[in-house]
Amino acid sequence: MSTSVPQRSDVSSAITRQPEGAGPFSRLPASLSPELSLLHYYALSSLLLGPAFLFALVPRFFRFRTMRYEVDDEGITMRWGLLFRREISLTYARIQDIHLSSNFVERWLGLARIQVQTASGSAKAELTIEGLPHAPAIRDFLYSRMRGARDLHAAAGPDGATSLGEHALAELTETLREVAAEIRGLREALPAREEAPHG
Amino acid sequence: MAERIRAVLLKILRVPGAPDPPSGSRQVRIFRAAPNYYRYRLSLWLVAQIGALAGLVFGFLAITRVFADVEIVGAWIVQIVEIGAWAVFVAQLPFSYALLRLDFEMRWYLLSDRSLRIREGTVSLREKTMTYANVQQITVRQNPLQRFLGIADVQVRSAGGGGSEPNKGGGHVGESMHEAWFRGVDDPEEIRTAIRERVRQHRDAGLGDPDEAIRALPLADGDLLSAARELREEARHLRSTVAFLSGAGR
Repeated sequence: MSTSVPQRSDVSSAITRQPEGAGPFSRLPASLSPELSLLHYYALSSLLLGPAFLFALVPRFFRFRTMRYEVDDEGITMRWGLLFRREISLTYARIQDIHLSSNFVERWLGLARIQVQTASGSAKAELTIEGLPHAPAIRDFLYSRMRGARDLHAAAGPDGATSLGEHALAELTETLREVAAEIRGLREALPAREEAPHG
Repeated sequence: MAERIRAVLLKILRVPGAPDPPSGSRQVRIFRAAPNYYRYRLSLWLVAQIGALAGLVFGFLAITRVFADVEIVGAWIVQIVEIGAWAVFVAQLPFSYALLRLDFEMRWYLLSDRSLRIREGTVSLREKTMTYANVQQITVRQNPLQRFLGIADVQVRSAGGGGSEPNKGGGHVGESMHEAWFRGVDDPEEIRTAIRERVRQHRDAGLGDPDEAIRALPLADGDLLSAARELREEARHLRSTVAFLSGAGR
C-alpha cells in the first residue's frame, strides 16, 4: 500500500494555529491510515458481544485494514470496505458542526472520534473520523476550515475567488468605459453623416 | 473523602480538564451549569430511585404474600432474581450518584466571537463545536421545576434533520447530532442574546455556502465580462462603419 502515514513526531511539530496551514498534517494533500490502537478498540468492543464476538470483529478488522483518509485543500474523503466499498467525501465549507467524542476506553487507548455533520438529514454523523492520532488537532484544523470560523475579510484571501472577482470587476469596468467611449464617438459621427446627403 | 473518590474517578475515567476555546477565537466567555442544575438533576434522580425502590418493595411483597402459599416449581429462581435485583439496586446507588455529580461538574459552555463549544459528559465525553454562521434556531426551554429553581436549557440548532442518535453512555436521550444544549444555565437570556447578536451578522441561510459568496461577483469573470467585450467590439465596428459611410457620403 502506497499510503504515507506521517510520523508522530512530525505530526505534532506541524500543528499550527494558522487557518491556512496544513494543520496537523505535514502537508496537503495527505493520505492517512488509522492507528493500530483503533484495532485494539475494535477488539475490545467486539468482546462485549460475548460468544458472537467474531461476527463483529471480522468486519471491523477489514474496516480497519481498508480505512483510508484523504485530506486535501477542499475537503476530506474517507473510504473503507473490502466487499462492499464505501467512500464519503465532504468539503470543509459544508461542515455544520463538529463533535469530538470519546468514551473512557477510547481515552485510555488515546483515541477519539471526530463526528462531522453537514446539513443533510441523516440521524448519524455524516463522517466519523476515528483512529487518527491527535484528534483534537485534526478537529481544530477542520474547525479552522469550516464556514464562519474566520473573518469574512480574511476569507477573501490572496488566492480566494474574491480577488479574482475584483480583478475581473476592474476589467469589466474598463471595458464598459470603452464601450461608452465608442458609442459617444458614434453619436458624434452621426449628425455629420445625416447632413451630408442633403448638403 | 468525597474529594478523593472524585479524584480517583476522574483519573480512572481519564476525564480531561477544562476544554480549549475554539482555535483562533477571541472574547471567550465561559458559562457553567448553575448549582441549582445539580439540585434539579438530584431531585430527578431521587424520584427515579424512589420509583425503583417502590417497584422492588412491590415485587418483594408479591413474592412473600402471594406466592408464599402456592408451591411453584422454580421458586428458588424467583428468590435469586429477587436478591439479585436488590443487590443491583444497592450497588448502583453510589455509582449513579457519583456520575450525576461528575456530570454536573464536567460541563463547560464556551462562547467565543464566532463559535460556540459545549463540553459535556464523563464516561462518554462529547465536545460540540458550531460556528454562529451555521446556527439556525435558538430555543430556551424551562419546565415548572426548572422555573422554580431559576434555571433553563438553551437549545441551539444547526441545519439538518434526522432523529436522535441512540444514546450511548453519557449525553441525553433523544439529542440529535445537529443540536447543542446549554443545560441548566441560570442566565439563558444572556446566552441567547449573545448568540443571536452574532447570528444576525450573517445574512445567508447558513447552509454551508462559502464565506466568499457574498463578496465575489459571481458573473464578473464569466458571462458578464465576455458580454461587455462583445458589446465593445460591436460598438467599435458600428462606429467605423458609420464613419466610413459618412466619409463616403460627403
